[in-house]
Amino acid sequence: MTRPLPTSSPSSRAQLLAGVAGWALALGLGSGCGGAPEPVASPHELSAVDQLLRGSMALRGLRPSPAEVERVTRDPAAVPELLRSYTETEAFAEVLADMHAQQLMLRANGIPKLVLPQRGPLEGIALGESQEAEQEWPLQLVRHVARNDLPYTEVVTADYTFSSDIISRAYGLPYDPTDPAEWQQVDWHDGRPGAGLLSETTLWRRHVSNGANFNRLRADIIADRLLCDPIGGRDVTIEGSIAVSDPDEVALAVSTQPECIACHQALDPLGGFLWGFKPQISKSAIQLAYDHDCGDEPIPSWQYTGDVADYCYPLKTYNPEWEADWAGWGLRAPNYYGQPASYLDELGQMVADDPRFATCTVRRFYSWFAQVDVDEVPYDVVEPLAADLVASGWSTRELAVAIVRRPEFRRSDDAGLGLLATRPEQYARALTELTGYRWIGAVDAGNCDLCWGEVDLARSALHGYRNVAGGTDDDNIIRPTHTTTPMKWLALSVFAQDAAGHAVAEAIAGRSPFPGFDPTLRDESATRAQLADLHLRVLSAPVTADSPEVDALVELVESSSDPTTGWTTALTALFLDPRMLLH
Amino acid sequence: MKLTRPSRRSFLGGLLSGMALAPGLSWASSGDRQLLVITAAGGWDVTYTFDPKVGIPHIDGPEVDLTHLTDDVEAVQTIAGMPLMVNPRKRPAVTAFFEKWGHRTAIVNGIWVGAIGHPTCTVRILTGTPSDKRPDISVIAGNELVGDRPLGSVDFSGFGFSGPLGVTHGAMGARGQARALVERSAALPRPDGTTSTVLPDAAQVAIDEHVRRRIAAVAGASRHNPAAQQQLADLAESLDRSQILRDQGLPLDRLGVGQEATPGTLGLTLVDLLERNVCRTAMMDSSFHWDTHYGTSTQHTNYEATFADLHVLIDELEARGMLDRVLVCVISEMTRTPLVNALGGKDHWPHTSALFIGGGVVGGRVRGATDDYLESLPVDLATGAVDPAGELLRYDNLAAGLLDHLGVDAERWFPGITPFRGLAV
Repeated sequence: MTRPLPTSSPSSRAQLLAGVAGWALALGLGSGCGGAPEPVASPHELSAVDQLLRGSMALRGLRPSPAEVERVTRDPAAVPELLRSYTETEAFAEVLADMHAQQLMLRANGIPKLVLPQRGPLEGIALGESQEAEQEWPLQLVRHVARNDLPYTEVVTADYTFSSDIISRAYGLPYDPTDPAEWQQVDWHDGRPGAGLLSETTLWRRHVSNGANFNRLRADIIADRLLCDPIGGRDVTIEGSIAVSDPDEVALAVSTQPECIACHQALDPLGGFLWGFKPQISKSAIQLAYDHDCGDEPIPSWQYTGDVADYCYPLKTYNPEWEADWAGWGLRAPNYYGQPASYLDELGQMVADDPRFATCTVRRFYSWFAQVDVDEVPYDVVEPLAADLVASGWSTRELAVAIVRRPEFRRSDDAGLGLLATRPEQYARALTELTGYRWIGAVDAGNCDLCWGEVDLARSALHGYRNVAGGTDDDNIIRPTHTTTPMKWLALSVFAQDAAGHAVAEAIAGRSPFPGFDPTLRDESATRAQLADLHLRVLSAPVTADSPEVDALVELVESSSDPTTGWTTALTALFLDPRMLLH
Repeated sequence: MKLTRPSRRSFLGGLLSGMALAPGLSWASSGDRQLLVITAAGGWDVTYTFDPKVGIPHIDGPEVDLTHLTDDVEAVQTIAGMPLMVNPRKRPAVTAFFEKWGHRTAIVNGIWVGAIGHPTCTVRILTGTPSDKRPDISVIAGNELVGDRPLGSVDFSGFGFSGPLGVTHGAMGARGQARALVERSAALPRPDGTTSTVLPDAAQVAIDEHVRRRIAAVAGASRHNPAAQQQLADLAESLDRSQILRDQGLPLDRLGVGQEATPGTLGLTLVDLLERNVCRTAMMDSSFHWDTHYGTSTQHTNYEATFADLHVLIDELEARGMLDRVLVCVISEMTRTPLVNALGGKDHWPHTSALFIGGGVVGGRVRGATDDYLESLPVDLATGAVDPAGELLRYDNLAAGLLDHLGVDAERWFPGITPFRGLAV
């Protein structure tokens, strides 16, 4: 999201700077060191401003505006209301998309087989563009739920999906090119039952069913990620006499051998709901299909099932006729932890009705916001939040605010969470909102056979720095690192310099991203006033123009005889402040 | 067990005095061993080289194609005292490697992993625990033995688990990302043709100093919260370490930014990093697809290519005089099922083998074993010899043993776990 660039005028600038300085002075700020002494409710409670900052970063990945900081400085009781308002923004929808992407391992752009080759209707579409469309496809439902405050159960019960131009070309979903909406809500076109994320092609292209796996890995994703029941993490002891490469013998063993039954009595029937999906559709299958002219003959590979034409765009990823194929392998009929059913939509409803879905939802949300592991969320935190979630009609907004208003989020002593790490996605969103700068690289400038296109360097793990800066790659690294690392510091230093350089250049060109910011002004009082304003905007900490904080920034501005370098240095320092990297 | 980071003296000198950094443990290492880990992600079939199984009804050995290749013959050959499955037609590089370096190489068979999912097995074999909250062995050893290096461990594999030790760990990226951070002119171009902002060194130093003062100020305001203190200490330490990296540069000029490096290039880069003392340990992936559910022929090509690369790597370590101190560990998270499946491939099997070269290893010897069902046999963990009265060689024994071999107190990281000590005897 890019904030509209405000027009700068001397009068508005003077007004703003006077205003900031005025209320900061009125509050008696600007003396001493170690940050602004906002009023605090108790010796061990974060100031209202810091509570707002933490909540804003958690819920939006954005810094609070100066007006919001001013408001809670004057009225600390306004914090909850502001936090609730944050959940009504598009940024909250993006945060929930980030969370689901990580937890479902969807933005795995380092897995070559997930690439959509530039053949047929996708010819000329950069690989990065088509991959992003596919990865964001299921996340549209998450955004939709957040934007409209729909019951969260919708993510497993929705009988619709979303389509874009690229998704339509690749998968055959309807799309109206005359509609300006990039993503359009549509019905499934291939007879698959609607079960929210459980029906989404992307999820099951990402999590494949290899060989004789028979959807067990996919079933484990459902159990682990939606119910917090990680069956696949258990120890496996296989009796040596069982030939596990023989599907018939495996089918017998998982029904008769006690060491097998323990996992498979839940796993196999859960996987039974997913037989309508192709086991896998990889890049090589699509290339193979086009090399065989998309004919109707069976695809010439053991690895893939169906006809060649299935693997040409639009890809045939689901077929109701395959739903009962489990029977041909002697496997258990679909059921949900003992409850018999047949179809995906029934599965979705049973997940929604399962009390574990509520508690697991709380665990996943809390884990994301508090930066702890899902299995480390205390039971006495989970239970009341889960009850409130259900009572609220499964409102993600209510849940998110309830979490960030919990005592441990507001404490500054050892009963509190400590400082939370700013994730690469949060840092990128905040910096882009502040400066209008996006950290983009062109991977394959010049000629290439398979052009990747432009890459968002803060968000891409493959070509960019998401993983280097502590994020996941949704493939091998599925746990973020919340410790600041030397490589994270280096990456954010480069990003910060670029963003600062961009902001200063834009300001010099008369397009300042900060209201009233003019780096060409050379008199000290203007410099100080501007730095106090930037301090407030970037760090959410009001200071006066003669404060030690501003003194230190003035030193940086004046460290170079070139004002552009000096201001870029000061802005970079602000972007790398501990209050930016930790919150 | 709740995992906490072992404390050691602050990298920051007096800057953060008063913060929650405990003094104490010396950074001095007990030896000068370094570690280079190569993962063979996906699950190699150990019957193709390390664990020959011939004439056993429950085990399908390597795939042969006598219809088209009359010399496609698998055979057990003892090289440097170790029985190996060889195929001069399809895997000559394997034979060549062991003929030259077998005397410096130890094979460990019959490592019990106890799971059959890739992520689960990868976590177990690399961290020695079932939890990806724990750092991997490379990260632990790197952190414990970092000395005055800017980093303890670097990871190019993408499998590195840093746990709470991220402050000495470097996730370097798979496409030359790290190079672009210290060599700004090598960065990917911007689509709009504009250039990156590169501040002068003096400005960068001034920013670092400013941020250090700000860390101290924020630390003062967070003095009641140890977790916050630790976060700030990590930030300060990261800043210091990154400054050294920026000042010293990184020997990454073999890597192209935005491009995938070949395993050979990556291996030489890791040698450069270890030689230049950028880090104490390093990890990379073989980059081959070992997960052969559909047909097993790529096991041949993977072994061939991996051992060709490994040969070059070990030659290079020897040529630079580093082989005595660098322990090279090649490991896969699992092996394949004993029998071929209906699709001509093999599925996941919860046991594996590992290869150790140089770095204090007594070579020319196979430790551990599997039975006629390709299941791990009990061993004497002190020697690696098969012993019916011994214990299963589990992933945690192996991890503890690796730390022990590198001079790290294994008990501190794996309390109660017997280290596998077969590498040096």
